[in-house]
Amino acid sequence: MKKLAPILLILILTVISLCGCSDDSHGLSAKAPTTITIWHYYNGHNAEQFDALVTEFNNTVGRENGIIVMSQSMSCANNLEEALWDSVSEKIGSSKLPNIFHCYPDTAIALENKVALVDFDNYVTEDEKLMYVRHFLDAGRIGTDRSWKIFPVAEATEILMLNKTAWDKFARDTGADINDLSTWEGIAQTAEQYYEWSNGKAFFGRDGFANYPIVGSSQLGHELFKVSGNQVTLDFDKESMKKVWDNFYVPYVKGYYSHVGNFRSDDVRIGEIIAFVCSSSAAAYFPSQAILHDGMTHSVECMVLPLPNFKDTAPYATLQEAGMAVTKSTEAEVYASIMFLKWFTESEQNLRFCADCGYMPVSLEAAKADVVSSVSSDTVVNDAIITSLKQIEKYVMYTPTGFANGTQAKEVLERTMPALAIADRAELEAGAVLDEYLTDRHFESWYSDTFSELIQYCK
Amino acid sequence: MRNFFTSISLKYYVMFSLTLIILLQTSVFAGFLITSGMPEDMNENTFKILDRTISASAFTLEEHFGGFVNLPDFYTAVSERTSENASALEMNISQYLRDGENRSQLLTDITPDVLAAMRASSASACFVILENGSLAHDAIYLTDQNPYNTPKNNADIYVAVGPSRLLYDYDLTLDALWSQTIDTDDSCPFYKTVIDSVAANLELSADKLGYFSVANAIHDEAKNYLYYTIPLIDENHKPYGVIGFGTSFNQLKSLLPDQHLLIDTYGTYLLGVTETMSRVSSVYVGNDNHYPVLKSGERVSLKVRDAKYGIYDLTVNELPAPTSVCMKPLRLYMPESPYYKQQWVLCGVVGTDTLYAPSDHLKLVLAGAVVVSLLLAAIGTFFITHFFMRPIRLLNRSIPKLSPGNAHLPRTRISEFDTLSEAIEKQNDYIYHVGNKMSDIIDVADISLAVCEFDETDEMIYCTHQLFEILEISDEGWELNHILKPILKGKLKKLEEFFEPSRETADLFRYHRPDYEDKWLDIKQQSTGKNTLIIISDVTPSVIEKQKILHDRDYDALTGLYNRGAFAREMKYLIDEGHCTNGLLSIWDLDSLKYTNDTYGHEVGDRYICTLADLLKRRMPKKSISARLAGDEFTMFLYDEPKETMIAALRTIHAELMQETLLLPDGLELNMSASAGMAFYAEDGTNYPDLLKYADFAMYEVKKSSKGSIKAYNKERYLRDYILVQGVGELNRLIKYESIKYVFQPIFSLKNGSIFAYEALMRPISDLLRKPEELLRVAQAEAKLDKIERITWFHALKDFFNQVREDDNARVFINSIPNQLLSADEWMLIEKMYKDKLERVVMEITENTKSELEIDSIKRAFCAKWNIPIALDDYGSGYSNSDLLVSFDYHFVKLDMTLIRDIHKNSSTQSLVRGMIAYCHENYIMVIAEGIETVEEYETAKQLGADFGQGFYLAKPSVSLYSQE
Repeated sequence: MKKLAPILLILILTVISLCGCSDDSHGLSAKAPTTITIWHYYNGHNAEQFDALVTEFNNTVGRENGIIVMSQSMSCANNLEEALWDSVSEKIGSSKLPNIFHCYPDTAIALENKVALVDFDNYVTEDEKLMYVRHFLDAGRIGTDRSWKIFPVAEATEILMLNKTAWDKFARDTGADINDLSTWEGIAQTAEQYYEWSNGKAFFGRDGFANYPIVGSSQLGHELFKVSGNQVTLDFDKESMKKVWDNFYVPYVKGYYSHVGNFRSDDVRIGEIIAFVCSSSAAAYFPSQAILHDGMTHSVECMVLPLPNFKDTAPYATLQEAGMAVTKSTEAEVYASIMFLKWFTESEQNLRFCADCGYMPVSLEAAKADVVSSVSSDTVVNDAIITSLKQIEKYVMYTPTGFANGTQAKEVLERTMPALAIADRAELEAGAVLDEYLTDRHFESWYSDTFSELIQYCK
Repeated sequence: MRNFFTSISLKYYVMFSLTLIILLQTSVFAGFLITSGMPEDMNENTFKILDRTISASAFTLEEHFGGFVNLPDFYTAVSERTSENASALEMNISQYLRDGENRSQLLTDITPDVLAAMRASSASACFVILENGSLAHDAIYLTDQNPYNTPKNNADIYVAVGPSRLLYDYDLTLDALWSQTIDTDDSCPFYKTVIDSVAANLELSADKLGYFSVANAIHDEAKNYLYYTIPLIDENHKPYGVIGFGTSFNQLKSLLPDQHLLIDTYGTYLLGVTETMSRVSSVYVGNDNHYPVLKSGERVSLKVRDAKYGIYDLTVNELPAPTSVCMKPLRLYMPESPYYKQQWVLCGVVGTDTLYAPSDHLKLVLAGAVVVSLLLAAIGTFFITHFFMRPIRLLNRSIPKLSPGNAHLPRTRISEFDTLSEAIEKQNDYIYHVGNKMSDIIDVADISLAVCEFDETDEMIYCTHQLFEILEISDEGWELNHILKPILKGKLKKLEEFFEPSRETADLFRYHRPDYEDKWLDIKQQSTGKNTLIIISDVTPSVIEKQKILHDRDYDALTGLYNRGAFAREMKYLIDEGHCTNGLLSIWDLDSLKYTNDTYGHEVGDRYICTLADLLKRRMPKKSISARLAGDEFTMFLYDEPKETMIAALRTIHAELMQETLLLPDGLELNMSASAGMAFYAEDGTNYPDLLKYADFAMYEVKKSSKGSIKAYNKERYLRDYILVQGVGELNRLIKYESIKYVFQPIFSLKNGSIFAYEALMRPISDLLRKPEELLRVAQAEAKLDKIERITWFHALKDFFNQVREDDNARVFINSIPNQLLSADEWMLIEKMYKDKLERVVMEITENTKSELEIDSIKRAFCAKWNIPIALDDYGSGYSNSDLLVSFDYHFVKLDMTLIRDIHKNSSTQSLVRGMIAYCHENYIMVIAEGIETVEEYETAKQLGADFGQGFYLAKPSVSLYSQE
């Protein structure tokens, strides 16, 4: 009888606890789902793919675990950042901070002390970490303590895309060499040649301009923003910048380069240019049809080439994409967020999304050329990913260390030179004299303006 | 197993009744809850909530679509811009739009209006399609992935269809599948419907012709949009294009979040158009993963479940589970609209079970509550009763352990039980005192009596203190007449070997403990069920007394040896009861005791006897017993040794005896001498009387031949001579009591057949000496033939003459024993008694070599004196031969029966007999043929000339003369 008593007691407690129906799922319950919001900067095709996967998650894992993911496209990184800061500063009418958002290291650092971000090391086991491309994962470590605040979801690097149909015609007529497209200098020369051949049409344009001076400067031996601890040192080397200037501003004002729509892929489509540097994620937008020099729409072929470098330098490239940051909130929401990110980056889902959108998978298993080829239906996207994957092997992958005002500093770089070039080119077309724009003084003026803008963010 | 129903612990009674009460209570409680209608209320609540949710969503949707319908600015802006552009070129609209460049320009111009309309209506698509007479229409078709996010720039707006120049003029992005024209057949099936409606409804303005439809997304067949399109109508009331809005299904999903349908996690929205009230054509379903059968374009049938709240059951196969919908109509068309009859509906799709989930849950919870409370009640009452029953249980357990004098029972603090306990204690004390009284009585009475009582299941043993006194052991551990079973067992175990059961009495034990005086204990045991009572009494004095008596009974007073009776008992024990396997029985007889007694007196005789007795006692081997059987007769039985060993032992004793001398009063020494006979068990005999007889015979033989030696029993000699031994007593008895009778066999005349005479034949009345020959042999051995002769003469004559008739002159043949003579006095007595009749007597004699002539002559003289004829018996056999016949003078000759036997077959015997008869007749001797047993023998004897015949054929001997006439 005395032995029976504790057994009965345990039985009663079990019954009671079963009635209580509490389980150890960090507050997640299929009956009372936890809704989490996610802000991403994917747009168009990529956004649709992303949303499709979100829906799939909601219908499967999410439903089982009581998670509803509400995804919202912020169209582009800038819009997202703006909305984020509105939320942070609790601007009237602004949305509540999302649980998950696309985030660059600079932003993450800038958000420090304002928004608490989840340190993924607390939620991801070492075994799980081994499932990711280490380099991509490390790119998400920020600050002096290198805490892991940004979860990689899809990576991209810059590549050169070429309207092969147009190029073939041009090359046949002029004997232009495709190898010239491996250097910025070569592209400038070829662009001049094309301009002449096509009676004044631009050859080249580029997206994500800031990467050009940042990667280029590093390549030329001057890391623009050297971060050590909380200290940022600006190394805005004039000579290197001159080289950057000579190979962009100069061909641009001469009409060899162009910039019309929001993305260069659109420019290729409307026949404005035939080559451009962009993120591999833009590959899906490379048109299957384009207006060629004759003003008519033709089917076009695409050619993917590695990112050009300055002549006689080691090849440099940068990782392009932001990862996802998770804000600290209730345990349930954090767990739901992490569960979604883990699911999204499981090799199957990750491969599906990346192969469709031109990203390099972050899952180690999926980030392989043959694996990507086996699922990709679009040859252009496939080429872009494979070229990217090769590139990150062969190139020095320069990922600038984030710092608090990095976003603003990069915005300066992103803006000043193309804006000047577009404006000057417009003036030229309106009748201005070219030589005035090719003087050193003009360069100096841009340099000093830009330098003074940059320096205020590098204190 | 105990009979469960006859005796159940109080605990269970309490537990069962408490549980029953709680069961009743919970049942009543649950019953009230259920009959109160609460479940129905809950169901209605669920319906109500669903109804409100769908109504709210329907309202949201109406608002959203209302944004399209009620946006006249867009229509106005587009038509005015068209009119303006046309007017600027001094054309009417149709003329203006005939030119592609104009169309392209117009589309570029109205782009800000499209963008504005798009932002204003939160549409996911907004478009203007211009009629150009071909299928590939010029159009501007903008999409927005996220209509609710409105950045300052138009970075989120994509151009799906539109002129390329838009890129130069507006900050827009081309869709991945951007095209400059749109195929209205493939991408905009609604286009034709809307254009055609204009001609059909001339009286209606454009805004009344708005049309809702579902179609694929532009460039993407995998996605669906819900479109609202209005025709663009020119001044001639001709359609020149359409403007429209699109709501992507993705946007519908955010407008109609499935999670609003809280009651079912798989709940979803269905947008459809009713054909009849029981049939809906599905347009959109939020979760087509879970409800593939409800996806766009499918038709589903409905069955009313609850009309009040618009709840219907879906009657479609392949549903994951029984499914119901809450259906609400959407007001999308105004009454004037040609599409007014198309009734759009919004349905909330939920599992039918979930509608009743709360009430089901309530019922389940109630049921669970009943079960759990019952369980808890059962367990609770179990523990409570267990707790309260504890003292009672302790009491219960204490009762079997109650020991006398230590009668304290624990108190339960329950008055009834405590009263009971007190009563038990009192009772126990009483019993204890009674028990003690018994013990005291035994003490006072000074009876050596110990009582011990125990129960199989009890650890305590009741025993009186006398037990320890009787057994002379320590009483350690004994208290208040009780002792623990193991302690007592331990004590008794050590004593076990000292108990020796008595041979004679079952319960009697000899308690033979070294260093202590032997005791005799009477141990009686009585068991009733589990209870065993043992009574031990010390009977030593009475046993010793008895033993003394027995000793006197069994032992010879003079010699101290066993007497005859005790020896016989011992022999019976050894032989009959099988306590030995072999043995030697010897009988000793002191030679010349009679002489010693007569010569030196009995005192010396006794010493003579004691000498042998002492020797026997002294030299008696271990396995032997000895006894004095009679005056000078001793016996000794040796057993369980090899035959030779036993014989040797016997001889040694005998030899020693022969060496002994007895000092006589006259100073002489008398040599001791004894004769002994022996017989072996089991080769000679298997019982004591036989053995004794045989050994006695052997001893007798020694006595008869060589005194002072030992002889073994010999069967052959015994068979021959035992009668001599045995018969002596009998002979003496026969003689003393003249226990001999005489029978008479007639002797017939063979000439005329008359009875000539009777032969008197001796018949001893004895079991042992039945035959006359045996009697005569013993009598001869004992030299008492003279006594037999006397009896024969007196008895035979007496018997004969007492019977014989007066008229009967038959003779009587008397067999006289050879060499025996009656004394002179006897002769005289006979003469005196039968003086007149003696002439009728014939003396029959048997002749043998030992016949003493002197005695014969005396007999003949007597016969001659009284004229008694003499007959020769058994002539022709043995000593009776013709030679003898010659020597004596006989009157009759009796031919021996050996001659007569089968004489008719044997001619040589016939001639011999004929010769004999002739010889006898020559000498005037009559011939009697003896032993005639057949008619042939009779005829032959008669023919041969025999005068008389005697035999069984003729007549058998008989006590009375005339019994067989």
